[in-house]
Amino acid sequence: MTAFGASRYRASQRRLRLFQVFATAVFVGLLGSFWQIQVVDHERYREQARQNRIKTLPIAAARGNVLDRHGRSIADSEIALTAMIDAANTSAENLERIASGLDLDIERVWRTLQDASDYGRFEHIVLKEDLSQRDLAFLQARRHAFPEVDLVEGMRRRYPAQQVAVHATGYIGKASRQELAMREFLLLDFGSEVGKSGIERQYNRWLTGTDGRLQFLVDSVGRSIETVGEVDSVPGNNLRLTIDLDLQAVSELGLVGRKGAVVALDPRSGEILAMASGPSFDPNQFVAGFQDADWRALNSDPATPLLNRATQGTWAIGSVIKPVIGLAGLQAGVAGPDFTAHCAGGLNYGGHYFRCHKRDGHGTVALVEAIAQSCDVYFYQLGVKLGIDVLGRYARLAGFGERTNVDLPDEAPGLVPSVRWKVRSSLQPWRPGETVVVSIGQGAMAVTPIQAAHAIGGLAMGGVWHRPRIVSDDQMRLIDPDYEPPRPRVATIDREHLATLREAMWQVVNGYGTGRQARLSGVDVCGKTGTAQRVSNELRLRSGRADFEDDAWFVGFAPCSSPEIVVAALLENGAHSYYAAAVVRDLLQVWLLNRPPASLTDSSKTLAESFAGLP
Amino acid sequence: MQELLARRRNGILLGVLVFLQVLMVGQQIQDRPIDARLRYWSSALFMPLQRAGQWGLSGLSGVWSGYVWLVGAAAENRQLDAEVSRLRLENHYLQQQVVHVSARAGLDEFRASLASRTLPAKVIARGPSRNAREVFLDRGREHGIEPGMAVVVPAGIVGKVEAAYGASCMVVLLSDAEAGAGVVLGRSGAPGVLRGTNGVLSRLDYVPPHVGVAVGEQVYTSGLDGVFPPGMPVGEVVSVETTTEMHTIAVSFHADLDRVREVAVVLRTEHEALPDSVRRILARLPGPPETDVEGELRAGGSLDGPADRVKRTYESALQAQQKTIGLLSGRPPNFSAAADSLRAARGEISGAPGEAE
Repeated sequence: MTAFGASRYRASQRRLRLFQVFATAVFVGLLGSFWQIQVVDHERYREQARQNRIKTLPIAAARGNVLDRHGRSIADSEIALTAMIDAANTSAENLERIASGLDLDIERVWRTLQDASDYGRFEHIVLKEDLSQRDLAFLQARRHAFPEVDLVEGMRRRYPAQQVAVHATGYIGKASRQELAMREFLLLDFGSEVGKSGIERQYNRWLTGTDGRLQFLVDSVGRSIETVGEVDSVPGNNLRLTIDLDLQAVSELGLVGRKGAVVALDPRSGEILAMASGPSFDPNQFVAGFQDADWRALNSDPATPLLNRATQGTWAIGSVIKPVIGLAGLQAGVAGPDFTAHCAGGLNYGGHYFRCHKRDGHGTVALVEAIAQSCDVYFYQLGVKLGIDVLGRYARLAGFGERTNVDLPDEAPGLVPSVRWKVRSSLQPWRPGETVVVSIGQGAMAVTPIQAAHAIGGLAMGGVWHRPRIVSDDQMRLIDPDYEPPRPRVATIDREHLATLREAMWQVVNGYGTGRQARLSGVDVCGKTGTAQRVSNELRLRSGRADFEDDAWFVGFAPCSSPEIVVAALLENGAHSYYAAAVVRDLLQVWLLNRPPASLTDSSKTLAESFAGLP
Repeated sequence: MQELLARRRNGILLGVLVFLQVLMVGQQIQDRPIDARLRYWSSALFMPLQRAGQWGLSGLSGVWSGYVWLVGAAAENRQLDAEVSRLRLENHYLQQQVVHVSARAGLDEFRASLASRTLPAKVIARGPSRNAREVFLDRGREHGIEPGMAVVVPAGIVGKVEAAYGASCMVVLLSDAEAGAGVVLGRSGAPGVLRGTNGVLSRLDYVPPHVGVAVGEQVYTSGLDGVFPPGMPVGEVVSVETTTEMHTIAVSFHADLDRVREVAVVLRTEHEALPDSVRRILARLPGPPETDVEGELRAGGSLDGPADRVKRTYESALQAQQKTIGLLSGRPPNFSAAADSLRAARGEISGAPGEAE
């Protein structure tokens, strides 16, 4: 071998050795990586692989149905399809295409994903609920393009399309950040639905079920191959209300095109038979999800359709207060048979002339005539005699000025003004003229329609006020085995005084009174009209504005001798109380038609005989 | 001696036979009649041998001549086979050409009748797997093809372009389990969503359970998916199972998805009023419903519940009497019939109002 050949041989030997070293190093490196992956990080990768292979989707639990007292459904749930997105596996481009196809606001979608990520949620984020046929067709035709979207069968809350018992039932919606932070909702997950108002909110826990889950084996692009696990959902409990759908429907038909409220109670138990508030709204909109503009329009509507006027709105009660003021006068010994007032159309008091609604006056009247004909002058004088403290005491005895504690959220307490209240609220002294206007249910006095029904119902029952409730005691015992029915508030009232008041309210409807529109054949109806001014008569007449018209009230009960139902009707800007009286009459007609014949009161029974049955 | 005989046995036997043969030849040369006895015995001895030899020789001759003939026939057979194959191929080609020309003519006619703008395309390949639900077309991005475009034939819809390449594209057939289309039922106009099953039939989902569906009912595209032009034929209902909550509907495709060759890709979708060419194919079938599917969806989203029915009953009573709640003049509304009918519905009274025993 020449020197040159030997040199080449050594060079090739070196290269071979280098290659061997390199190859050995590569294999050692590979072995090390395999060791790292298969031994050291085994558990981590195994878990990741398992998660990649198993997809979990929720099975929505049906919310319990809301039923009327006869078991008829007011709110139920139906199967609806929901589009859920796996945010971790989507792209901005896909998200925009999906949002566009599903007619979603992309900004809202981004906000939802952001909110979800704040709660550590990246998968199963609800993109759109209650998918339409268009949405379903859009997604189904693009399953290949959008593997990150899943179609999940959920339960959609369904409220009556005819907007029945909307304010009493309330509605559900996605839990807000504030709600998720509340103790009551701590266990809820992002995107959970909760009751937002009415019964849905008050009895949210009872109505809410427990979601199940479904686990799928999926392929590399997320398509389901087979089901590997399933945990059934547990539906929520049904809730039977005291509402009677017949009465509820007619109450609402009485408010068509009007603002106002109708509340019907059973004064013997406090059970709410009907509760309507107008104008109304479609709670299904909350389930489907509002567009921002729609929500703003509804929320800022000057007619305040979201307000439950029956429990959350307060108004001057007008002359409906007169039986209560009369009771105060009788109990205080002031409004006896010998106490009369001469009404010449008004009263001068404290340098101010207070008009009666009857310009030419009622003449000389005693309590029964004063209530029957709603003579303001009589009550001006009685109020002045009693003073604001006594008026306030009896108004509060009847339940005004404080919440009735009906089992509905956000009830307004109303207001019974007092000297102390005046000083505290305005740093002004109580002026005697204010007592005059309070004595006819005007001025600062503010009541809710449910308070009006509760107050007159309690009087009709002889001074026994049952707490109004929309869920019966029987149902409450199912919800809470330790439930104790609330005791009624009982006042010691002279039976003769009650008889006088009842006679006066009988005369309002059946005699020479202001509520003849409420008269009904087949049953004696008692009641009291009320007209509450919003502005001075001069301004109302001068402006001609509809929203300056007086509010019209009527509160009636039947049968007079043994009341089974009391109905309060308020028509905002209703102008005259007889409109409200006619609404109550039609409601009582339906009540009468549905009442068991055996319990019909003999309307031919004399008043004296009826009063003999007083408690 | 015995040892010698044993050792030379064959040679001795041969010598004896030759000797006898010489004797017999000699006898014949002498022209003397052979003794009859000898003739008999020699015949008896040699005839079987002669016959066997004759038979062997003739057999060999036959085999040889047969072999020679067979060699020629096989060659001729191969030649004829080749000719038959060639003619078959030619025949098949010509048949294909006829089908192609006819399909192309049908497709052209079909395309001309469509309101939607379309592009003709040929299937050039099918998916690699045996059960592939995708085909490849000879048109791609350079021809204006984009993912998401519908692919149709005169008989009905076929699938959707899933990916577009330079000069070709991939179409996922409707039979794929991940494919689907928005459709309407021909008789009721009820909407639904068609989904592939990886089989020959498809599923029709989300048809409202209160809608009646019949076997044999035609299915058309609704256009709600934004892919397929509305009004295109899809298939026919072949089975229906109905529960209170849902229908389970199977639909067969009108288009032969496994053999489709000439297709039209819909470049721009328009509402299709079932073209004449399609009507000829589906001669006995009604056209697509003329209803406004979206309008129907809006109007009929939810069915009345019990609360709705109660309110409607009282509302109808008021309308029938032309009265309102809270009327001041005249007789107040009479709700007797309404209340009775609702009580009957609750089972509190038997029979509806007006029913006589």
